[in-house]
Amino acid sequence: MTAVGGAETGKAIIILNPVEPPLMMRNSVFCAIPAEAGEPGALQDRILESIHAMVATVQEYVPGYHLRADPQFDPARELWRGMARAFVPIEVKGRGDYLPDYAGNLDIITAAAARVGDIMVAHRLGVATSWKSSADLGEAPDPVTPALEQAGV
Amino acid sequence: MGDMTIRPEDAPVVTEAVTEADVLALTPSAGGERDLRITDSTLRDGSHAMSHQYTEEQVRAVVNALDRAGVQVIEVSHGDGLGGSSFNYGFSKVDEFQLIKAAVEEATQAKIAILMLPGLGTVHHLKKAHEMGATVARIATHCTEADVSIQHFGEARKLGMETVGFLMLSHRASPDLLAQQARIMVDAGAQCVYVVDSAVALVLSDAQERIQAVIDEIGKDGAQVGFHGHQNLSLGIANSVLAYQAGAKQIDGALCALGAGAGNSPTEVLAATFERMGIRTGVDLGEVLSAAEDVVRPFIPRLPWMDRASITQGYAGVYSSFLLHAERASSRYGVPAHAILQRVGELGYVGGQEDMIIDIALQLQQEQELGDLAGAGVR
Repeated sequence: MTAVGGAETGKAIIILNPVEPPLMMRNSVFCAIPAEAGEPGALQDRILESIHAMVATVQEYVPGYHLRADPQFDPARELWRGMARAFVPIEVKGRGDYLPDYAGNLDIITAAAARVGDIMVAHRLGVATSWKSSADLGEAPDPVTPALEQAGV
Repeated sequence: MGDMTIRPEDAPVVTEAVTEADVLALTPSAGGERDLRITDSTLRDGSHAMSHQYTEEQVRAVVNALDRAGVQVIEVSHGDGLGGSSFNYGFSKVDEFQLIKAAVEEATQAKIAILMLPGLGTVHHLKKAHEMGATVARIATHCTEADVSIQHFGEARKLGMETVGFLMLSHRASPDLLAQQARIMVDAGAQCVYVVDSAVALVLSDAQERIQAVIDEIGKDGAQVGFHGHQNLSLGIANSVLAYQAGAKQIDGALCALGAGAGNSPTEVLAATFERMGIRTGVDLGEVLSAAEDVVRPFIPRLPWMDRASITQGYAGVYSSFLLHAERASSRYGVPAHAILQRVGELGYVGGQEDMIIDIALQLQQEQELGDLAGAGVR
């Protein structure tokens, strides 16, 4: 998070839950942001835009990568050392080719490795990557409407 | 009914004047023979109820009082264990290592323990806590995931620390499965394994059966068994007594019940109850009552209580520390805290998944709005 993501400080937490039926792979990203970005406005819009752009980029090689809900912004608090907070709920549904679809954590590692391998080889050979994104292959990102479905709509 | 009149000859014969010293000599005080060991978690589990805002002065005062009362182990860490200070669980006001160091300086006889959840804290945190002077490592996992603690027990033993395993949300595993998980911890180096009723979903015999199964499995290796209870269904003390009767030798408590959910088994009530039963805890009752009343009570922002939300936690088997997070999400998203906790129980989230509370609150909010629309005839 600090070396690749550029955060000043970062902390990763992993929690295993063996519950049945299994939970879909789920990541939460919490980010301390300036107080100004905690309120609706230009800065918050830029953050939102950046989040959605990154989701689209990852979806090129992980079609099951999506936001579980809209990013949430909470205004600055004293307990947060005067910073505001962004919360980004990410769900990764696997392809279900070899592993169950809830194991999106394993699929995303494989997919990312394939993507990085492709970029590295293309770079070494000095050629354009022949990578076909999911969209190029005619696959639309997985639709997400679980809450609506649950509500019977 | 016979004649109830007291006659002069009925008066007891006093051959020697009884002095206060004689009375004190017959009253159990700190130290001496013990049948069990109480570990106080006011400064760890209580950190949840304090929203992790403990100051160094408060920590010193609590350690000083517990130490004087003869409590042998005092746990100090962020509520979610070492490294818990984060957006997800709440930031500590004072760095936990500073608090651990202060506790170590203050204690004269008590050992200072730390709690850590592998995956949330790391071995680096453990080493640092040891450097600060902590001597008991309590390593916690979900009740079916003991294998994630193996390296941590190895490291703790290498550091020369006493080791305790913590099987959280124990109601989610059968007695046999729990015993197998305890075996994994003992083989990895745990000297005691706790049945942890993180939600107070263990109702009396449920607790006792689990304690018994774990003792049958690990007792033959000389490992001890412990019990950590909460008050959500008001069973902390009763379950602790049953645990002792089943053979548990380590029991957790917190002064004024200060802990997650409806709080922990109150240390002072444990001391009083065990003393009434003639079970020796080595704790001086007067001192521990004073520690609760005079030291802890004055700084508690809100006494742990069995309200609708915390009872729902016990009933639905929800990790106790989710309570304040659910209350915050409740006020942020306008959905009831007990409804959030009920859903957490249905979906089976485990300790550490506090982030999912926001997910659930958002879903409930959406369902509420859709319900309103449906009610208004919109399809």
